Amino acid sequence: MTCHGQNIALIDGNNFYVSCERVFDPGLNRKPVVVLSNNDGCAVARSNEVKALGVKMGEPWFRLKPLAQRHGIVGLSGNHALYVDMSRRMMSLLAGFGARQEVYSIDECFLDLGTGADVTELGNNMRQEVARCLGLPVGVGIASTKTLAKLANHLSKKRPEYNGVCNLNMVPEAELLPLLAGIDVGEVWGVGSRLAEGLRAVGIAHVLALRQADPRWLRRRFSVVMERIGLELRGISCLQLGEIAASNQQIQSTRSFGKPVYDFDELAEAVLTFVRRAGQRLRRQGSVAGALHLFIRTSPFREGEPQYRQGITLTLPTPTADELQLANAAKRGLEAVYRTGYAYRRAGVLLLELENARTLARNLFADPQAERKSQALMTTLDAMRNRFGSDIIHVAGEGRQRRWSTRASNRSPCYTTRWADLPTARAG
Amino acid sequence: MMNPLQDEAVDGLDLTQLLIEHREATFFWRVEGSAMDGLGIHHGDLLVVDRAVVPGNGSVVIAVLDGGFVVKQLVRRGGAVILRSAHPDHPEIRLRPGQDLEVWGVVRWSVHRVVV
Repeated sequence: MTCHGQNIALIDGNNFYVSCERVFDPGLNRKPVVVLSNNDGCAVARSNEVKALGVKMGEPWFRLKPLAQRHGIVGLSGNHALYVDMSRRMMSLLAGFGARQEVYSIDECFLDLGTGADVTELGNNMRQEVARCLGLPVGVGIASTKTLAKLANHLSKKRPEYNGVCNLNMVPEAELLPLLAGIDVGEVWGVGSRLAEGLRAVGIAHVLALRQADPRWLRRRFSVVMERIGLELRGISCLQLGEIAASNQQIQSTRSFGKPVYDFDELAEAVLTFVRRAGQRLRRQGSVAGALHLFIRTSPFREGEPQYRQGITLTLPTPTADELQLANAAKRGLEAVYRTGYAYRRAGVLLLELENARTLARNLFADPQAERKSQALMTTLDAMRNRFGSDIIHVAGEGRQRRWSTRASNRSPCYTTRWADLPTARAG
Repeated sequence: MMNPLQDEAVDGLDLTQLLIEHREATFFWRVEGSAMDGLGIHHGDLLVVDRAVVPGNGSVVIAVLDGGFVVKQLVRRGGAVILRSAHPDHPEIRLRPGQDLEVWGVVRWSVHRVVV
């Protein structure tokens, strides 16, 4: 590689959700396994065995069923609590390997590995450490820019000779060029399928061609973003490592409904369920929210139905993690945006302006005594849900039929986040 | 005069500090059955299991045996790997050559609930 200076690593979990499930269920090893999205909709994670059967990402489960029966594909409902906890552990382990870390998604992060000459061994150590401590397989890509690190990570999985660690900074130029010529331009980070079409139309079909294109021309013909991609492919760093995980700056809980909802009360029940979930996550990470956003909408895919979508952002009187206050705000919001006569098919709640509850100055709260009472109530609430499952207690008005809960017919236990769900080992 | 009640830097004892050495690699498990009674590991006990620790001769481990999880004592004797129980009714399991054993983690503590 021409540019040696920086070592940026991108580490990600191989088939992360499936791998998390296998840690606690060895019966899934070597079997074709898919993890399904909300409402057991479509495949969001696939084991290698399933990929070999030709199952694509996002394929609906109902369409997979005949194939599943023939090959014994196991379809698991998503176990979000498990994946989030395993992700937290993995990110924490990996953080120790670099000076800076950017958690990019639930199963991938960038690490700044400094300017050492050959950091490939560091990549091997990461793989071993995560495998030993968590039982999860990861792939490591190392290069001089984030965009190249992404490509290196792609290569670490595609080419067995790398043993899961591809360090492009150590690949000689003569080998690098044919390597890049062998990768479709659509694999480049930031190049979606539409942009890939556009690039192919002007004769840029593989990564090498994009790298060799004049960056200024890329800017004129496409955009500043494409120019940046071109520069990054040449080893000129344009994208800095962000320090904070975007996912912690807001919390959202949204769902598509299994059947359309017309009635205000029914919609309110659903919204309160979202508030409950988001509130629990908020308290778990020790934050308070300064604002709440609520949206409701019909389905844009049903052309015969009248369309309506509306959202509203409400500022909370004081930053809070109190479920009752959040629920009140959400209900006021719903009253403001709800219109009769529409078939609502999706709704959601976002908690915004998150702050650490402890660093927030005490005098910000209007009533310290009420605040203490609210905290005690929330602690009890979370403890009971922790012990008996999250559906045990609801804010009044939330409804007792769990119509809004995800249909999760084949969900594994919350092995690492609920006392009642701990894995068991036979002594005799 | 120093007033100890005003010194807020004093933390109470936190049991997890004692029980958990490697936070990321530590998992809680539940025991089923009484074959490990002799080593103080009883039915229903909560186990603190550390995956970062390398098992030694005589370590109590969570292992994958025939597709299921067991808690046993790992013993190496003359090149053979043996999974030992701690109960007279349960004979030791000697691994056949070629039968591979996956050690999932090492048991560091057993938390036993005392009935009141």
